[in-house]
Amino acid sequence: MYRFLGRLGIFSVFSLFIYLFLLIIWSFLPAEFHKNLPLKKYANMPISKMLKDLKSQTPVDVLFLGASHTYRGFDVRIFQQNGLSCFNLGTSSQTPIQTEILLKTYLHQLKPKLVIYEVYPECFTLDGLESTLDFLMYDHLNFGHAKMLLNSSNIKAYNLFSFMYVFQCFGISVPENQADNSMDHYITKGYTERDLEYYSPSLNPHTLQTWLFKPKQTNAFEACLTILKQKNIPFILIQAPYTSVLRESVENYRSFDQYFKKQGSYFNFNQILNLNDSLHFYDDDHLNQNGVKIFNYKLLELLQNQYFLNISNPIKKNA
Amino acid sequence: MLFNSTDFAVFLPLVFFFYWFVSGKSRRLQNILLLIASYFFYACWDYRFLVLLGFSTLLDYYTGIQMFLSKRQSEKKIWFWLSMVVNVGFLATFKYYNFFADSFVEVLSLLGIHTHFWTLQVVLPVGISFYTFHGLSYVIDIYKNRIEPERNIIDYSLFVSFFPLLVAGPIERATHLLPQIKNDRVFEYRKAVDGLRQILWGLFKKLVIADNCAEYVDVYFKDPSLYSGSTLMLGAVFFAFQIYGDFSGYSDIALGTARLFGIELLRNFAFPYFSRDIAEFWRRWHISLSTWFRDYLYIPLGGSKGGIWQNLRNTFIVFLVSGFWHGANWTFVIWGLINALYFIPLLLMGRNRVNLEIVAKNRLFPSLKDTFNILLTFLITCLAWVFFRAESISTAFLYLSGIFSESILSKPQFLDFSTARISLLIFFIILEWFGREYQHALQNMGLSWPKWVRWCFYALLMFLIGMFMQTKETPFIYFQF
Repeated sequence: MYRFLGRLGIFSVFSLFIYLFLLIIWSFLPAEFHKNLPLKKYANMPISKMLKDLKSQTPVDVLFLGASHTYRGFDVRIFQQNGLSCFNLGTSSQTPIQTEILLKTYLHQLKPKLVIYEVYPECFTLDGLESTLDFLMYDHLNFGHAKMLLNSSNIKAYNLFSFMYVFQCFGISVPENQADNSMDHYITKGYTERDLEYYSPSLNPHTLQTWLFKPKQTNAFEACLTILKQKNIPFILIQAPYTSVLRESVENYRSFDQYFKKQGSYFNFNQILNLNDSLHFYDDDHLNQNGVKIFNYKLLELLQNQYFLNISNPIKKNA
Repeated sequence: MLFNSTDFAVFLPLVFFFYWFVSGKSRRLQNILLLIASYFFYACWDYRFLVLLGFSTLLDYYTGIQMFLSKRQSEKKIWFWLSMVVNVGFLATFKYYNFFADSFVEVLSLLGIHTHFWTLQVVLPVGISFYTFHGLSYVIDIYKNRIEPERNIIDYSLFVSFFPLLVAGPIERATHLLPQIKNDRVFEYRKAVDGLRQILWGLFKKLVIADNCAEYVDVYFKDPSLYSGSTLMLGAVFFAFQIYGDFSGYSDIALGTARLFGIELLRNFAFPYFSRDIAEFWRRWHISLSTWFRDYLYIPLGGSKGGIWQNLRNTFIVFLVSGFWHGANWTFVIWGLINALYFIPLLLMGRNRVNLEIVAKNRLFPSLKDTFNILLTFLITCLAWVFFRAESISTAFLYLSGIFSESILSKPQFLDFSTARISLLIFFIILEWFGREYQHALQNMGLSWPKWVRWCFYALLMFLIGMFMQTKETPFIYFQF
């Protein structure tokens, strides 16, 4: 029995090294042979540029958190023109699990005076894999990523983490390809602008769906808010606008407001603004640049009403 | 809890540890532990059906003893039929009631009578077909005086519910499993190592072969009208490997897991796609079910003793019932019927027991004749599988008419990762071929190699699992039966 367990232990360690070795060797094969090792790295991906910007970022007045609605929806230039320094930490399909780790990693560096957290309900229904893979690919790996990895419980994430970790240990970086989407332009401080496009709702029929929040996401979300509260950083929760066709296709759309209202100051811009599906969006849930401007100026107006906005010291008026 | 889940990866080592280290000196404690673990394993699916499993177990346990104690044959018969009716009744209610009700309504509507029957809104209790057959064979064996009833309720319950075989077999016999449960088990290094090898091979079959083929199959079977004949033929071949990888993979994991506890289960697959005729195929495919039907249906019906017509009738009945056992759908009945039709010519020519040994035994390659026969058998098996996989008979006919169209000669339409998947299939077939003379492909593979080479080979298999497995847990096909 002990011989069996001993050899099993030795084999486990041995196979781990062989696995890592094969992972590296295998990466030279065509992409279709490494189905569970997603290795495409693009030079112009917003997350890549954002993380590079983040390295040299000093404390800010406003920090934006959330998924693609954030990095495509909060134009930092508009806020800067109005005297607010800001940084946009939004990344594609970012779920609260990733947000929690980002907060733990970067909050002490950014020291925001106000956090604006975009809470797109669909992100609470995701497992967070897409975003985890993005961070593993583009970020410098640390303990937080290991936690992200455990939360994802996905072989793709494990493979990519192992691969990138080995590369990181040897100081090698994965070669970058050209951008896969030339319509996106990274501006600065995490914001990405897309060439002006218009959405055609009639070409994209929606079927009725229900968005069910995953407990692990709501737990992580509440943990994010706890972190902010512990550090006495005021925050507001915002639902950025998305098209009426998408809203109407979600059966339980109304129920999300109740949940978010309980968590803190919350504004649903689908109710505040009356945007046009074709004129102000480029797909069913992302604003085009025209929509972004309307949304951002309305947000500024709301902030001025609710908060004393001052470059050096924005103070929360209504808790 | 799936065999291919992280839950099971935690569950199995824990049970293994407690089994050998904590209760290792007492067989009674070991059996209690295995029984608790088995019920926990089953409860992870749906704890409500534990009541059904418990009731079925107690019924067979009790009727078994009562039959044995009965002084008169009539009394024995009553206990026997009580068990039969209740066991088959449960199975019929949960598995077949809705099917019969719907079919009856359809027949009446064809006659112009429109009616509505109450249908059950419950899920099929997982494993019911398997544990019911365990119980039935036990009761029949006692009735036929082949065995004596088991008096120890723990041992009997473990025979019915032993977790590796509980949800998808192999369908065990009391004569085979109960003596192992009643005897002390000794940890054997070689057996445990081979158990691990078998688990590894089972996982490879399921996660790499079956699940990757499934991605193709699901697309092609969803709307066969969209694809060329050659593509649909490819889809049928992929399904053949999917169902084999899925079910034999499950069986390998079950057998390997049981071996870790010092228990040998019945072999369920013996490289069926290397069969040279359909009779050989059925001796190598789902062996525990085939032999169950042989012993408890074919032989009681008279087997081959009553002349050719009775033999034909019994063969048809066995294939039809076997098809129907798989699911409450006419597609399974047709699948059984087709296999009976494949089998009958061999039976009439007296050639159904020609190929008893594995093909090309002690040789590297098969003869040309054997190769032709293997390919032909595989081809007709694939065509029959179309009925097994299709949602309805009309879809199956649509699929087959698509195959036998002019486009059969066109280039198949491949999906993503096709080169990788086909390479994996070829790798799999090669390994199966080299391991065909043993219990499973890895049993003897590389035993003469230096240890580090052999370990590299196992690590490579693990790596391929990690590189090609699905990112979400996928259930085994036979759980639905």
